[in-house]
Amino acid sequence: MDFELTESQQNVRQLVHWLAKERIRPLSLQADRDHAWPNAFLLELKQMGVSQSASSANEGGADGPKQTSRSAVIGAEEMAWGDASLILTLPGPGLGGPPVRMTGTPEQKERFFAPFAKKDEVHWGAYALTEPAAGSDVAGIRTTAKKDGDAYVINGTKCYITNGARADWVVVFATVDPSKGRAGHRAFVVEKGTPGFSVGKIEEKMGLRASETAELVLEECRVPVDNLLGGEALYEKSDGFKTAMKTFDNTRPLVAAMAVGIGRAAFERARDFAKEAYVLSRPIPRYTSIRAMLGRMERRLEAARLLTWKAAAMADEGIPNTKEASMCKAFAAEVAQQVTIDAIEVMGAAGNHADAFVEKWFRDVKVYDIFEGTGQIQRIVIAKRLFETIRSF
Amino acid sequence: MITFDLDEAQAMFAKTASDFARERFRPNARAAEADGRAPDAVTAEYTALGFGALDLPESLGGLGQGLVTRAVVEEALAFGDLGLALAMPEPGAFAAALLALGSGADQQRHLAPLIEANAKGGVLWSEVKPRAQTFSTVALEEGTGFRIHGRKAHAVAAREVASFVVFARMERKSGEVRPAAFVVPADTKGVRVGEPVRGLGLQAAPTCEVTLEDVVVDASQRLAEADADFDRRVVEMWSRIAIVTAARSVGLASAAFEYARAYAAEREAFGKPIAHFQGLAFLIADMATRVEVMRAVVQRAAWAFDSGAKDATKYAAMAAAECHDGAMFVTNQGVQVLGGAGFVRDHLSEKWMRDARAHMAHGWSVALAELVIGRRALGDDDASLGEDAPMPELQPVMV
Ligand SMILES: Cc1cc2nc3c(=O)[nH]c(=O)nc-3n(C[C@H](O)[C@H](O)[C@H](O)COP(=O)(O)OP(=O)(O)OC[C@H]3O[C@@H](n4cnc5c(N)ncnc54)[C@H](O)[C@@H]3O)c2cc1C
Repeated sequence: MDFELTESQQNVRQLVHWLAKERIRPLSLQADRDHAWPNAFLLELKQMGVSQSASSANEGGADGPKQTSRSAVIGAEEMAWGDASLILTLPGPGLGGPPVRMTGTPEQKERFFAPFAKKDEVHWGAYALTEPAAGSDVAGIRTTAKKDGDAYVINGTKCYITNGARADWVVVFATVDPSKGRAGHRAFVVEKGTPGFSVGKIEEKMGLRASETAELVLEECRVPVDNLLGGEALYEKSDGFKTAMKTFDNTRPLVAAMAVGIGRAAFERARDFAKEAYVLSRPIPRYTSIRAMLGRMERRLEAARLLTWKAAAMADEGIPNTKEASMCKAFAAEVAQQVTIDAIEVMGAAGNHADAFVEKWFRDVKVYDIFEGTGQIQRIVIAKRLFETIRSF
Repeated sequence: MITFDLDEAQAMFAKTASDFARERFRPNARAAEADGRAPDAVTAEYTALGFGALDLPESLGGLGQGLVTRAVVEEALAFGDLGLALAMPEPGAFAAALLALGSGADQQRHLAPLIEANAKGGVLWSEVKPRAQTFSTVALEEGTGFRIHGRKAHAVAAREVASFVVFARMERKSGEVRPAAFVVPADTKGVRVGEPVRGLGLQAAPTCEVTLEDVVVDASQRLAEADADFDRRVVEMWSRIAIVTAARSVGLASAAFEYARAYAAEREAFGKPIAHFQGLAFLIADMATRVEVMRAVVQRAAWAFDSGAKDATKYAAMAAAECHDGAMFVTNQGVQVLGGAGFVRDHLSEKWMRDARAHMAHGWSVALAELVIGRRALGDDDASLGEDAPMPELQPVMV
């Protein structure tokens, strides 16, 4: 049992916190209003070495046990404390990264990750699973892929795709045979500019407004066979659905950590407000219910953080963590929502002001209970682990 | 490095406790509840395991393990039956009081013999007739000692207790009035332990009222070492009690969860096992998540305490609030999952739910624990008797 951060994790935390506080927060409200982060700032972050995964993390080996996931959740919490929409907008492969890393052939990895190595440019990848008629029900995707010579012809519409419009390439999930269900799923890397591949509408959202959410349209879009992730051989032994889902064991703790970060930002804001502004003559608010509310906010956030750490530690240790990853994601999203609601309550009318930040965090955090699997879907995942013999809920 | 793994010794203690609790506590849970005490055979076997002084210093005859180990063992024991776990002979809260408030000499004199004898210790805190701001039980300085007078309430399993730490309002000849703690063996003249109070749950370890009538103690029985920073030490005592209490809640909740899960996989309605139904499956998923959450916060708090962290009190309060709430949620849903069967005594689920509600009165309440955290969040870090301890006039507690 140990809860001490390694030295490198302490550094990650400190550094990212500094960045979040000094550089990200000051731009956060404007980015929300502009529905975008300035590209110059994104490039600067990239050149500073800021990425979605804490790169300084120990990957295991001579330096001691692997710390990748643990370091990543620690970094993600701090960054989300600054602004969650920025994390989703950081240049890099984004959610498209894990499937390419996990199932791509060596050539594919080299090809698709190459753009991100360029020092003076910003590039994005994206991940397109969701469709207008298939969100939670990922197995029900209708985008089709038909083999035609040296290419697959893809037809369908994807929606709510983070960085979908700006991405160099998008991992697109499609089915080669709808009658086969999950076994018919394939993942393709579709590159920007491919004929038949276009961007539909860009969503206007309740929160995370500075993060781009796009609709993608594929019409008779010919994608070379070489862009089938993992190559055809891969699908002879396993199905594409597993590929799609494996991504989430890794990303759910990260998403949970971001929710904790947003919640913590709101908690700290409310706490400082209560300390400084509540009752002029007293450092501590006179209403004990306010104190208690702050106590509850902090303890629930800590609980969510610990669950997130646990799921991450299991990932590092190579222990299957699907259940724990879903637990922390569902729990953290719920906790963080309540904390932002309570933060506005502590601040009263002042909490609703657009320049008070907490109203933004209240808007931002809602989607953490929706994307990467809704709270309900997480519960299905957990239930499947609890009841080995029951396969449908 | 962040890790939730148990070391070898911890895992071994946990396994031993778990096996014992499943085999000896669980089958005796109903009988002990009805009798208001543990069967003598179970008590004797428990004593032989030597868990009572698991976390107490080796210099006092304990096993020198930390609170983390204590927590995993308490969880395992409570999984068997929380009432029986509370009834077992061990220094318990008495040790928490001596460790926090006593000098080394006090500990050797009062705690070591209790450990040696495998005897039960207790703390008398709550008052039958509370008085504002302080204890109504009074200790008047007289001759070379004190004469204690008062009526204490909600003392857990007090009939089994060999020695108490009594909290009282001390009135000195000099006119000084302040709270203080005294070690009072149960067989001291004037100490009368009342009949067990019938209550909602945890009836294997029922609470009693304890009357102190002209109890004369020597000045050396006062834990005088604590005078300089009494408040801080009392809060440390409550922190330790809170962590152990919270660990027991985890065991209680996981008992209810495991039982409900197994039931839901078997019981059929509408032609299917009821776990098929999402309304129920989600509930059970939430129960599982809460148990994980509870376990993690307890481990975090116990570790903070073991490593002497400055903010250990905050983490202890987090564990208290999270686990009291969590155990109530999980045991309540544990009855829900069983439907009508949950409501009748054929299953233990209804007992676990009653036990959970009763257990919420042990140590820090959710309400107080959240204030303890909230105060610290606002920068008010000084331990304070009025603010951080369950003062009798505000909310009586069981200990
Ligand atoms: C800001 C944002 C960014 C996103 N980024 C991406 C991205 O980059 N790539 C991508 O592929 N997708 C992305 N998504 C899509 C996201 O993953 C989906 O919105 C999400 O999975 C839910 O799907 P849905 O919106 O179709 O809701 P639906 O599936 O229609 O769900 C509606 C409601 O029904 C419930 N529900 C559905 N099925 C069940 C069931 N079996 N049992 C119980 N309840 C059920 C859901 O929990 C929800 O409450 C993004 C979404 C948003 C809002």
